[in-house]
Amino acid sequence: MQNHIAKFADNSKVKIGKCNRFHFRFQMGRKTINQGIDRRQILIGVAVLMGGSLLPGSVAALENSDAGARDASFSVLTKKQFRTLSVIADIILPETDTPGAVGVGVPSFIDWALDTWLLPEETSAFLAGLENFSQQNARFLTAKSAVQETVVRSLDQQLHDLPTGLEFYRQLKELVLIGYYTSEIGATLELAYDPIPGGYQPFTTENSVKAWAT
Amino acid sequence: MKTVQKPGNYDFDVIVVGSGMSGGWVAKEMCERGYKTAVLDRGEALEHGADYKTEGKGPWELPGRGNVSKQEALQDYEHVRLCYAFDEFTKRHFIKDRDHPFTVKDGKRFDWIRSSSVGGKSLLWHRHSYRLSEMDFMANKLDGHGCDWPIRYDDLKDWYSYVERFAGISGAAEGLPQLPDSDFQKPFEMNQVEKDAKASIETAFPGRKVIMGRCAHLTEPTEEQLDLGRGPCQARNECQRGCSWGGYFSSLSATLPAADRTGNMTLIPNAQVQEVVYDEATRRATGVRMVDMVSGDRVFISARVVFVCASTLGTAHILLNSRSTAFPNGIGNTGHALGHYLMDHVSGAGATAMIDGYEDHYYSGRRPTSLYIPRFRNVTEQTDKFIRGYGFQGEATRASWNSAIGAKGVGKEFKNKIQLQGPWRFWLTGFGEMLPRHENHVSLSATETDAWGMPLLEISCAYGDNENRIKDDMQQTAIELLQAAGFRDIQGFRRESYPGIAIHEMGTARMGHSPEDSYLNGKNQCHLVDNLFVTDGAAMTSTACQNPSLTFMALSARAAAYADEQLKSGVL
Ligand SMILES: Cc1cc2nc3c(=O)[nH]c(=O)nc-3n(C[C@H](O)[C@H](O)[C@H](O)COP(=O)(O)OP(=O)(O)OC[C@H]3O[C@@H](n4cnc5c(N)ncnc54)[C@H](O)[C@@H]3O)c2cc1C
Repeated sequence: MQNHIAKFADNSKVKIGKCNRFHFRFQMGRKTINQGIDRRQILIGVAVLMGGSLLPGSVAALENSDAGARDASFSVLTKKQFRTLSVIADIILPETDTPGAVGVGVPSFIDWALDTWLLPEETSAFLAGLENFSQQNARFLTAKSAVQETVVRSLDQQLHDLPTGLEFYRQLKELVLIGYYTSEIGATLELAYDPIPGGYQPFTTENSVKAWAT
Repeated sequence: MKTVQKPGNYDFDVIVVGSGMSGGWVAKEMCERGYKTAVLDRGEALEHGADYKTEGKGPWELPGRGNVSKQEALQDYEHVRLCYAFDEFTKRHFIKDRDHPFTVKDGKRFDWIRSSSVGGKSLLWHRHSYRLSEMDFMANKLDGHGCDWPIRYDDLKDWYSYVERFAGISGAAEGLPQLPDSDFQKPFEMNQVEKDAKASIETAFPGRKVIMGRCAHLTEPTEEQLDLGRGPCQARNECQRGCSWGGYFSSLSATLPAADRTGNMTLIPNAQVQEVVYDEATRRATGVRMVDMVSGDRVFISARVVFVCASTLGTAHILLNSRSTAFPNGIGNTGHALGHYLMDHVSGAGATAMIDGYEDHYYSGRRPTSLYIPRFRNVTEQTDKFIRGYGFQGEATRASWNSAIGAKGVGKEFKNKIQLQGPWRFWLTGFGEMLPRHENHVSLSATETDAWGMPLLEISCAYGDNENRIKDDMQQTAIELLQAAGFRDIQGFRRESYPGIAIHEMGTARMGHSPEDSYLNGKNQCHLVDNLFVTDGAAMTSTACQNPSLTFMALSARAAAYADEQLKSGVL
């Protein structure tokens, strides 16, 4: 019997309370953000910031050409679906003084969501809707960006009452927003992010300030 | 501190089953008094700090950006997925329901939310901490629902102070009889919207108070807390991932380290306790039988005293399964109380609103607590619609990007608008008292066992009329309060919900005056087995409407002190 306990005692005794009291004193008030932005995001982000006037389509191409294995890394989307989504996503959240949806990798996030997050039936419905969209807008990918934008704007106007067959747009828009604002650029550059605020402090300000990402 | 002599014929002086909110306290108190104490927990071992794998991470650092695959949630986390705190960051700290099944009876539903690790739900809680009042300890006696509590507020008062000073409770003194003040560290601040709402509501309803939530966060850490490696709360409000600063109270940040540094604690994780063993000759519990969930080894561990603190239903499960010739239906069971009078709070009703103005107000930091509106029904304002009452939690925040979900708009203008702080909004949600009823009970499955051979727990529990009327009133009153505050777009809500989801499950081994009406006496000691104690939520004779964990802590510390006296005087 005693052996049993001895065994537990050395195999699995939990180490606790080893965080020494200077740990937090040292960190107090210090604000460190993990700077490990995905390299690809930096490259795209920088390209965009440097004034490379990348049209949505060309950003998609950049994503496609990047890192060789990119195609293989799409779990669900075909190349064409990926490009269509990329155009729509960048119309919803375009480049401003920060990168747009494609610049932060939203289409890849959507691919992940369709593969892993959403239920299979939601993914099928989404893909069917995207297919309908592509059929109804056969030349969408090659159209001028102003035309592409008109198509997306008119769909967005119907967000609360989407035409039958195009309900996927609501899901798409949600994924674009989530994918963007939970990305590192979206959270820390576009919005404000503070991993260690140090306290809760109400304040007043004359100017509009950025919203907190989390 | 006096060191007691070696356990002698026993493996340990004390066995504590469960290392959560209650068990952590018993472990600390007994270890500090010199007892060799074994703490057994079903959960996996976690190293405070080092094992909080998602702590401080941004959403982009996790594959799902915080989201758990819906398929996985449905398959593996049937109940847990309904908990508001369950996400990709916190998933590891919740139990996988699929591996730990239970059943429900009589067409009822129970959403049992359980933890997966040492430290139990103390790692996961929302830290709201409120004392019960004299009114609460008198309630059963006065209206006849449930048996009379064997203790009164005065019995627990000093123990509340004792646990508060160690745990660290932030809050403000208000002098309210129905919500006695704690020994506080300084409160978090209200923002301007909240201050104004407080003024409007208190003017419109003089019997209602809007106060800052009282929570187990360090705002002015004491030397004792600093010595344990704890530091001030950093207002990250990501607590359920674990906080290596020890900014909030958990077993892992506070009680277990205190127990550990005495050198008297042996913590045994992955240990599913299946039964407390009873010896008819001495009429004592002799120890527990457990299964090492990793190796499958079955082990008997003996001790002079056994504390069962496996969370309300975990405790009932073990006690019912502790069958002997003397107690064929569970150790100490007289057939009256064990497994019965299961309660939870009634929740899921309240209101939300939007607020005009305050554009020049904002805040930095994520306050880890909210406002609280203490109970006023049947305190300052009587109603004949129901007995007992409820309290509200709520707060004002400014909308951020997620409020753009479901909104129309595309392009630069849309994006630039999202970038700036959005409008103010407010939410209020109630927690109401549930009456003890004999028919709300648990039992053991006669046919099904879990992977380690323990009969499954069967739960039969439902809200009754009083709870449903409380829930109606929580919704209507929340609307009325937000109207009084002058807000717009007020939307009441009343969600369908089942017991369990308020995560304040209590009862099933209640305290009382005699074995005829209860399982435990006023010292959390089993009426019929002197060296068996239960100090978690199972002991609760009524629920009151306050978040209950602070009371579990106070009862645990008090019962440990009593057991110590009894051991030292040779009675145990
Ligand atoms: C998201 C969330 C928010 C909450 N918010 C609040 C709040 O704001 N305020 C408040 O007061 N309460 C809150 N609670 C509830 C609070 O967490 C519980 O009341 C408290 O943790 C219960 O303490 P306990 O010791 O009874 O059980 P637990 O803390 O759950 O500990 C029980 C331990 O027993 C172990 N165990 C179970 N069965 C066995 C077995 N057979 N063998 C061995 N070990 C076993 C478990 O692994 C666990 O570690 C919240 C809970 C959750 C999940």
